[in-house]
Amino acid sequence: MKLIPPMLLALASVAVAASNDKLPPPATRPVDFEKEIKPLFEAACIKCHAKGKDKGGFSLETREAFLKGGDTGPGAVIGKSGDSNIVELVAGLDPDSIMPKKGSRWTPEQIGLLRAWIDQGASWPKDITFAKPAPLNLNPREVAVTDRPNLQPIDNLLATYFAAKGVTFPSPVEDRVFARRAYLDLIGLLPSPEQLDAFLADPSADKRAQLVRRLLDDKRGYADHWLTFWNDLLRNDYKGTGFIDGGRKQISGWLYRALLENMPYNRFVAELVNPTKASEGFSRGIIWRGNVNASMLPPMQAAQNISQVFLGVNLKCASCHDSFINDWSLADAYGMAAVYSDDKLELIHCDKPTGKTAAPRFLYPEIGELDPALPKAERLQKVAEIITSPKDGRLARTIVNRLWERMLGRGLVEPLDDMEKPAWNRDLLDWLAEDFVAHGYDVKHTLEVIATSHAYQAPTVEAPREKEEFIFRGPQTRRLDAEQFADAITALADDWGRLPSSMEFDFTAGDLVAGLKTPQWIWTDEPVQVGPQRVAIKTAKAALDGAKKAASAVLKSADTATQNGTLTDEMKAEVERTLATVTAGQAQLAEAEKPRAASAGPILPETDRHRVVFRKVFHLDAVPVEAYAAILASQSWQVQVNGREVKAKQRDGFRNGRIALLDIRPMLVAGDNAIVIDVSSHTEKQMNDIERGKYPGSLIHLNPQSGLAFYARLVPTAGGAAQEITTDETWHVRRSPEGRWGAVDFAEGEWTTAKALPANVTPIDEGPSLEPIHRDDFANLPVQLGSQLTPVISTVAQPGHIRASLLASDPLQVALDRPNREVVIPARSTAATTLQALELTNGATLDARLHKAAARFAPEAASDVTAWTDRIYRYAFSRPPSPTEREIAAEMLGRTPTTDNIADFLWAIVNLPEFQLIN
Amino acid sequence: MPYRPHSRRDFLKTASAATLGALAAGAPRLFAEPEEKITPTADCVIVLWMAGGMAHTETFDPKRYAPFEKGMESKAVLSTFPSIPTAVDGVKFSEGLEQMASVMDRGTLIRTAMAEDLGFILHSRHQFNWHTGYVPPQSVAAPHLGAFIAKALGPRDPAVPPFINIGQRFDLGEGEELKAFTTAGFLGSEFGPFNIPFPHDAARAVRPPAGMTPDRFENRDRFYRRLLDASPIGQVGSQYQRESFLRSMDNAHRLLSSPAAKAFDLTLEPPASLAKYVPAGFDATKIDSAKQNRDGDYEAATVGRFGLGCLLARRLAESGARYIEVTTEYIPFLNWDTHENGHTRLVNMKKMIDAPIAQLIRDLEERGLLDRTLVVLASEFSRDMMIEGKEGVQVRAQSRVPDRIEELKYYGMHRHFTEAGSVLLWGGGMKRGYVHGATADERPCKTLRDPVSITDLHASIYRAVGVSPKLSYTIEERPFYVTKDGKGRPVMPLFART
Repeated sequence: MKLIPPMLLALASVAVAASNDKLPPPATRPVDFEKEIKPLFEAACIKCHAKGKDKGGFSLETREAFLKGGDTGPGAVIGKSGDSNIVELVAGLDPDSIMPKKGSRWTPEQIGLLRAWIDQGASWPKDITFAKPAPLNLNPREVAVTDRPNLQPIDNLLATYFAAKGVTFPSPVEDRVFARRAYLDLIGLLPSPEQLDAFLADPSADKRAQLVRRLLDDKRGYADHWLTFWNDLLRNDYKGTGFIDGGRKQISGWLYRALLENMPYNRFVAELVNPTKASEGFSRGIIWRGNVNASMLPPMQAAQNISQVFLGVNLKCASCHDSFINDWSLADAYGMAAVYSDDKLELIHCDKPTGKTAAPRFLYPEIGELDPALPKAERLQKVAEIITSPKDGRLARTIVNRLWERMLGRGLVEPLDDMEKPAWNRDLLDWLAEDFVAHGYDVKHTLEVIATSHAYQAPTVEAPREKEEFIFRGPQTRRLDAEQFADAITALADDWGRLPSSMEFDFTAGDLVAGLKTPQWIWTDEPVQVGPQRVAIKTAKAALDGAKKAASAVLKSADTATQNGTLTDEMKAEVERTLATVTAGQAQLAEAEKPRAASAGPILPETDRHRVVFRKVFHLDAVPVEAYAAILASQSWQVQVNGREVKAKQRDGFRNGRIALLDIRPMLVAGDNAIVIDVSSHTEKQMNDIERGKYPGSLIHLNPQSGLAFYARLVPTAGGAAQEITTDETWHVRRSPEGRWGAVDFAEGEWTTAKALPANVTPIDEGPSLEPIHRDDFANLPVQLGSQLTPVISTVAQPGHIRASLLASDPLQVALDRPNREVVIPARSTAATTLQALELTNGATLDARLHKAAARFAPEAASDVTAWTDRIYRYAFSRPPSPTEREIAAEMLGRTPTTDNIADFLWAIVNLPEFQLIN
Repeated sequence: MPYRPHSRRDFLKTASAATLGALAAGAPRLFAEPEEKITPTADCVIVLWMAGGMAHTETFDPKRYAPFEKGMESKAVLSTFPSIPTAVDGVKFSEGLEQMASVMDRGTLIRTAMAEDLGFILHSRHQFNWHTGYVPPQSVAAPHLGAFIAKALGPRDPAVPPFINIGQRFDLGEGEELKAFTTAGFLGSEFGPFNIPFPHDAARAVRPPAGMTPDRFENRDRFYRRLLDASPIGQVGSQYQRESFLRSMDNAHRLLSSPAAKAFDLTLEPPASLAKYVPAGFDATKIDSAKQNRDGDYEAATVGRFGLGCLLARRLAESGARYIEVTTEYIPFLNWDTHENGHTRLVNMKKMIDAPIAQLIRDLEERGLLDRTLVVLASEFSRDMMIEGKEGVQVRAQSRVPDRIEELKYYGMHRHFTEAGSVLLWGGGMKRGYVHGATADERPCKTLRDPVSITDLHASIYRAVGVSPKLSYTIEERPFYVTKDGKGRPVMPLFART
């Protein structure tokens, strides 16, 4: 409804004639919409006023919308072009609102055409619209592959493609090249000379397919390698921003298990979209303290990341404003963000509130409607269902495209995160996606199909130059990523890590480790509050609080009534009743708080600093070759073995490190050994800080009781049966005297036996990531840490090598472009840079590794230089050296090579492009 | 549909054609603005980073001296040092900065640098904001100022890494947060920082690994090249990758064996000159052991370390570095991060920076480099006695300030303050002896006029090196600008010639 004062109306009507004078005259011939007007609209208008966008409320997607107009009135008046809004705007009558806002202005001729078209009735065929086109690569599509029955489908489709492009189908590379490629691509490691030889000697016709299957069946090799890919994509890391104050959670434990068990991809995605405690770190985003742009609030991060990773949709522009680079609008991004929002979410346009509330909406309503009224939990469940439903053909296409890129160096669609772009071979993309779904969303299946194709086995080719049309001719050469390089060097040095950088990896997954003896939580001999009692106390407290509130409200109104002289008997009764409820509540709380299952033995007086010592003595016939231990304690702890302090090798990310991994081997002796563990609550300084309120709500440990779980695994000889030492009721415990505590020679009588946590207490599954522990949660800590027990002891027990993907980054890997995973990384840079070369040339990390390798190789190299050189060549390049190379190596190494010679030779080898490239 | 009157449009219909024509000529049009051509006034940038929040009232914008008295009201605390004159009439610094005061006639002082309002808590967030121009988190990895400059201008000398970062370790408190912005981000590691945490050890960064003699190093390289020639390289890998590989190895080798490598070696500096940067008796080897001592010894032990950083910066500027940053080092609750003992600790912080910065300016001038080298001193925010962040805002977890001060440790600037801050600029086309903006003389000493945002300060730095604030790089098909959303505007009054 327009409200124009009569005065102005009069002025306006006078003005029409005048304005007409200033407008270019209409063309005098018949105007054709499709040929003459449509191109004008396309060039000037549709970016802001079509394809779902309606700046200023104006859309010209259809004739109706065009005529209806926007905030400033109808778009055009049929037959009266001189009075038409659009004509005035493109003519620039008002210098402050000229259209188009960007780009060149319309010429008088163009305006004349538009006028004539309006004057002639603005005819516009119904089938022409500027509506958003149906999204590409969205609906599932079956591809029939029938032409060449002897070829597998990928090759079959490519044969058609090659024929059309006039490209000869390339012949496969030789066995050694294939082996190196398959090992690196599927498990991320170089084949050892022995593995290579066995493969080369294998006479079977399908040995390549067998090798692919064997590598994919190597659960651990596969999981270790693909962990890098997923960590980048799900921006999961063991260190980084946000961890400092609980604003970020790892999903390492969940992810590693999913890879070890080859979780079907639809379930994998569903668990990330509608997460459990263990997998919520992805959609929770990274939260830094302080103010954050509206476009990076956690629900928007979830919308961006889920759309990018699983659907290949870039919502980052649309998080601030309607996107300029694609058709996504601010409303689309907010619709998706609202799915993850606990509260109502207001649309913010470039940090300016709009007053509009976003309704939860899935990006592609055409594949699944979301009821905006659903509560969050059900909303997430519904979104997980929609995104993984068979109707969503985008999910499968996005992941198979990523896998194709990993294996062949370039996606079927590029960029990988823009799945609205057409594939260079649509049939191939769609077939791979359908096949993936038909095989139960099995990632390994698709990798197998790709790796056994002739296409994958073709010789590598150059990437196309910029602006050159891409024609597929074979895989592109790729570079070892930072983790592959680090692993290759570590393998040379045989200097594998024993402990990962996260405490969450559960090696019982995929049955890597089995039959572990589980330690018991042991306690002081003092009464403990365990789970059920805590719950009872909490419930009683809440009931009491409610009763008190109700009573005080009743009392207040009674007071008022008394003052006004209107107090009634009913009111008095009500007061009595509520007070009685309070009394009952108090009694209930007192009952709940009564110590339960108080054990025999002295109950020590409460002090402000509680410290107890646990002790276990055991006998060893000999010092073991390996002795790692895990400790989980209710608060600060210190471990001494035979009177010597043991420092943690790894701790969890929180203050005081309540979970840690230790190497106790250096302290062990043949004969009697004593492990003594001091577990103490807050220090005096912490106590003072708490008094001063310095750390309100922070992670200070205030538990008056102390508890412990401990597991050690002693391996007597390499490969021998391990001895496990675990906490149980055979351990001793005592209150620690102030000062010295670590000696094992406290008088025997001062010790009492430890109490194990009652068996009927079920650990609450808090998921692998630790929440910050707040004061009032503390008594339950061992119960909360329960789910962490298995991963930690499985880490102590795991027999294999810890690969770079399970370790935090180091300067060498940073130089080789291992990203810090603050954002989703779909593909890494592969450029060789000077800074990289400097690190490779001078860096301490590589230098130390190579020297270790050299020391290890020295005897072997000294006994037969030629044989050793051959072995290194076969290991590094999957081929023997040429006679020339052998000569140079011999010259470089000398007759009896020193470790320096060997280190320098290895340095040269690993810096050769042939080593660093996957050919 | 929101109602919008169009009286203006209707009214314009009555205007004469001439009036319309005149209006149209001056009409704002949002054409894609062509990137302006800027003549650079600097080839090299040195940022001296006062990590942890440097109080302007205790350094370059002193106010009335409020000496310590037992039992004084906390809110009565203003400057805790007397002021001293500088080489520029009417401009005063805080006591302890005498040498820097003597080179103020060569510099420009911005008194009204405004940190953004980010909720004030985490230092590293504000440092991220200052160094990238963007507020974390970002949906793409935002590049550091040094990386942007390295990318836009390339190295000055092909043998010297274009972005060198001196004095910061990343394995201490908030180290991960520091890493998040000390990076080239999406520009790629080629433009990333060459990190030298310990300047006394800088030579090691460009020297072959320990234990490697020059002969052996040359020998290794010679054999490497022979093996390279012998390998069936023609059959392996794409030509582009091979070439970039070999070029990078050549570049690295060139730096290691180039004269520029000598710039990193501080032992080559004449003792007399070295002495101007570090106090007598300074022992670089003690730094490591001092590590994270929070009792103030750390600062004492590192006084000379920042001085060595300044000296290294000068040597690198002479040898063709493009962007150099020297930090006092950020460690939570240390250095400029004074949540307690502000007054006593600042005595030491001033010792850390005063002589070396003044000497850096003198040396650059003496060598004729100051005109083309822009030196910038800045910090993530300032400090106040009472206010955390902005006036009238309540912030969680601020440091405790008693109503009355009974102990010296409460005397000083202990809360983060974002409503004013000092930035110093020397050389690189900036005015000499100029002061920009003014702040209030009483607490809170906030900006009164001419505020300078980080975005505009960056635009000024970019302008000095000839880069438009609207320069952008494409990531995920969208533009990412060197100043926030391309909106930075250089502060033209800072420039000597415009």
